[in-house]
Amino acid sequence: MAPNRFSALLGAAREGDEAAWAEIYGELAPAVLGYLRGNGAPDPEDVLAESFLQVARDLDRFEGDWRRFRGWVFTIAHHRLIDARRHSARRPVELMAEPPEPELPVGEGAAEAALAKIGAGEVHRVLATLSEEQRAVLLLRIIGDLSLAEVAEALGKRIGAIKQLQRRGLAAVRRELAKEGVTL
Amino acid sequence: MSDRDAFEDEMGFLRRPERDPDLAEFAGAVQAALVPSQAPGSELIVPRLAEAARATAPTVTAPAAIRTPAPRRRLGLAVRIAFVVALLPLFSAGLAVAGVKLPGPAQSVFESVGIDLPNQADEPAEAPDRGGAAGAGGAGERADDASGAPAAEPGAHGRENAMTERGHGREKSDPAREEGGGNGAHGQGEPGNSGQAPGHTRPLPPQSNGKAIGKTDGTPPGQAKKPLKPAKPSLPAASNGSRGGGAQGEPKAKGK
Repeated sequence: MAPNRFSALLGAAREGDEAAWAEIYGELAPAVLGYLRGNGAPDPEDVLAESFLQVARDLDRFEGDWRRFRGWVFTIAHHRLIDARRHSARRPVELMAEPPEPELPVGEGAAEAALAKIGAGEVHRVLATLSEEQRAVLLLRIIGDLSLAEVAEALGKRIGAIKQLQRRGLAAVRRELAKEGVTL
Repeated sequence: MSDRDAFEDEMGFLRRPERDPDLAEFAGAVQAALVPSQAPGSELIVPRLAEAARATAPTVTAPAAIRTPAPRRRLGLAVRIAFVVALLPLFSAGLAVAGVKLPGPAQSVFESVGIDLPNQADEPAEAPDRGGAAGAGGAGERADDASGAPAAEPGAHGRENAMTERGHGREKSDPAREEGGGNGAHGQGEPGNSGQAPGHTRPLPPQSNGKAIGKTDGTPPGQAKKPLKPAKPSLPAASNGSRGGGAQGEPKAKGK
């Protein structure tokens, strides 16, 4: 997003302009929801709504460009995810066997083509083999499109630790894909 | 190694799938499986977001400058004040240890809590300093030393002399001032420096030359000249002078 465009959008959002919020939410909510789903959030849609409400409340404190804003939103979402996990740990949870499948028109793009080959179940299975931190790093890199430094800031870790988590996570994914014989 | 190094290149398949086709396909599948094409429930959440932004905007913009830093400022100010207050007695005690004579109120504060400061002279020892300021050197000391005893039991001479000398002093201070001369007439120059007890208006012998009566050959009024005995006989005379002088602030002031 162009700097001028984002600056105008941010100003309008601070004043409570619904159109501005609709644009921001439309741009970021799908990716944030995907991150929450991939990390096994107890109720991803609720966590998503709480995350964006937190963004709306703290928007006056934010300073930066669109890229930074994107990282900031993912940081808030990650914090809300941790809160939701803690909250759900204190109460009985009804476990789902499979996360909801997104309604996707198969065959419309590279991602969909890949999903058609691998399958959503396989994606979740591979992600489940990763540690929480490895999964968070890979999902922020793949879905959030954040750099190493932005991931480090979002997760509150040093960049060296993020590099290690990324390397080990990718190695684990390769192993799992090779184990299942998923060669594309 | 910077961000744009091998670790960034590890994820290069996201931009260039040919680098690592397997991982590129996996990433594509992750996006397709987890990321919906449209934001869910936007028609419900967007109005709430706008409302939340409107609700927080006015409260933050207007009083932010006053509201947010105030507790920290107050806390910092309180800490500084407490620090200074705690330092004051320490500073005073340090001065006392260093040998500085503290003023009475400062000492009394320490005395009230039962702390005896070092290097602080007791009250009786302070008297010579004050006497020295009023009188001259040894004469002043002696006059003050004696002022304690005759005050409790004043002799007839002392009382008479004091009374008469007060009168004389008042009457004659002005003429004495006019006459001038250095022989101890009252009202001249600095009475304290002359060493003569105020009230003694009778001209002293020239050799006395401003010294306190009793220390010199000058004879107190109404007394025959006798050979001076050591110390004791001279004390009442000195006390007369000092008492007279102590009671007579006015001639001193006038003399100036």
